[in-house]
Amino acid sequence: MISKSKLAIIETTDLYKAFGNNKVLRGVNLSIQKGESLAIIGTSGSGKSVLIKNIIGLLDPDSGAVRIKGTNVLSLNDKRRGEFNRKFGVLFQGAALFDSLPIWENIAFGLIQLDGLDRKTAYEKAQETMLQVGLSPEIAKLYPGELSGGMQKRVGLARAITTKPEIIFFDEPTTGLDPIMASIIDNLIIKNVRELGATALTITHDMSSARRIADKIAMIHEGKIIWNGPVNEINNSGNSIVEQFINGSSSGPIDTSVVR
Amino acid sequence: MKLIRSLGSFFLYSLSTTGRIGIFTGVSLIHCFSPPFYRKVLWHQLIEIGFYSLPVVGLTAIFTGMVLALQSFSGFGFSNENTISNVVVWGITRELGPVLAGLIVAGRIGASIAAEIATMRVTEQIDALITLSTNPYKYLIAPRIIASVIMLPMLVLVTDIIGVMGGFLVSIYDFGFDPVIYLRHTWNNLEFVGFISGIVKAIVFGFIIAIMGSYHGYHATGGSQGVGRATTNAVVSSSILLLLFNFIITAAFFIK
Repeated sequence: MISKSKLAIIETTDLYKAFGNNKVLRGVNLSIQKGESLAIIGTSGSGKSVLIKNIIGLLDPDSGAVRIKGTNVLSLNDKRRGEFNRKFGVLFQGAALFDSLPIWENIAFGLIQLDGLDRKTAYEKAQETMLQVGLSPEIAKLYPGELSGGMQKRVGLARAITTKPEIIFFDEPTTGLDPIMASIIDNLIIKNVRELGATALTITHDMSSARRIADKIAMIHEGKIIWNGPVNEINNSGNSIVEQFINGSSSGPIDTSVVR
Repeated sequence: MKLIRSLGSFFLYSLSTTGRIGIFTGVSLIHCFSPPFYRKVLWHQLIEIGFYSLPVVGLTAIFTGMVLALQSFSGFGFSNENTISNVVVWGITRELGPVLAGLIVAGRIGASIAAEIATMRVTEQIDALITLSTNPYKYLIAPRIIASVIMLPMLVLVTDIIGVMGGFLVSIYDFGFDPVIYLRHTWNNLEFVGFISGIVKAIVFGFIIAIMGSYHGYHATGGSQGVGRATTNAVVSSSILLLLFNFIITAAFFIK
């Protein structure tokens, strides 16, 4: 019998991270299977962003392990870690598009710099990806500053999927968008993740988005995963913290006076 | 007691900052000499630092050369082609050319490097680079250091030529000197060591400006305020270091 950990494409074990006296992650154990879409929910300051940054390699945990396809990536040198990152696509909260590059070059960045594609072929591929995320190829030569927030998110999504990654991370994909645009972005995420057959990890505090995007939801609270299960079971989680969060209630076990 | 504690913490802070800058400089240098090299980014920086600095450096040089000739004539009372051309060519090539070009580029390019990298830091663009398996030292910092070290000597060369021409124009049209005699004296007074010391200064200044801009930009925190702080710190620190190293290099070249 194959153990659960062998099937996991992302696995964190006893992950701890503190900034000075502020203990953000206090032993996070998480496992995501291949092809699964997991949403991590939690209040502001609960450690969602720090967790995803530890998995991607933007932060180093104080202790614990991060395994990607069974390899503890924390033991790799920078070069090997960089090679591992080629399996990843990341959509950042503010899209994080490169201001100095036109839209098409933002999308084709990985194709040009990593895959070594010539600029003409990369341009054509970028235009194909733009169509996949509902962007008109006419905007290919505009710069990020000339686009609305929703369009920037689409460009960010296009950049995340253009190299056909095995794992895609979505950092608050609907934050700052109106409900209609949020729904459009969610649908694009679902469609593209399915088409690529990728594994997806999303962090969000938008419950509508989490329910739409994910197969499973995990809730992080005070640096620990306190509940983890299929989307359709979250309404009957039996956990008062989860219930307070998903109902958006100001009274309950979550101490709102210390929410950061 | 409070004063001693403050002095102590300032001393420790200075030491740790110096150490951090030292490590940052070392890592940046390693990435300047190891592949991959981003030629398109380097070309863009060469144009940005060199070509677009030409107008402001040129204007500064011509007026400085003109003022130097005027002050030599009216202030020191020099009144012949030999002495005035000597003051202008020595002053420009040894000191004013590299220092003025360095300070202007520190303000223009040091600020621009710090602001651009700091904005990339606070808007997660540097994080995005890392997730795209691109080393920010190689992609952002190394091209700026290489371009700055290459273009500063070029700008100083231009400053030298235009500055000397400024002195020439004032000498010919204001003082009525003979242009041929003035130019001959200028050529004779131009000393190789003085010129080379200016070029060495330019190389060092270019390095300082790029490192300080990159360091403060790369470590920026705290949104737009952090970008502003990084920019100010980059310009102030590079200007002070530039003047310090100007003294050190001058002493190394000319004090026996």
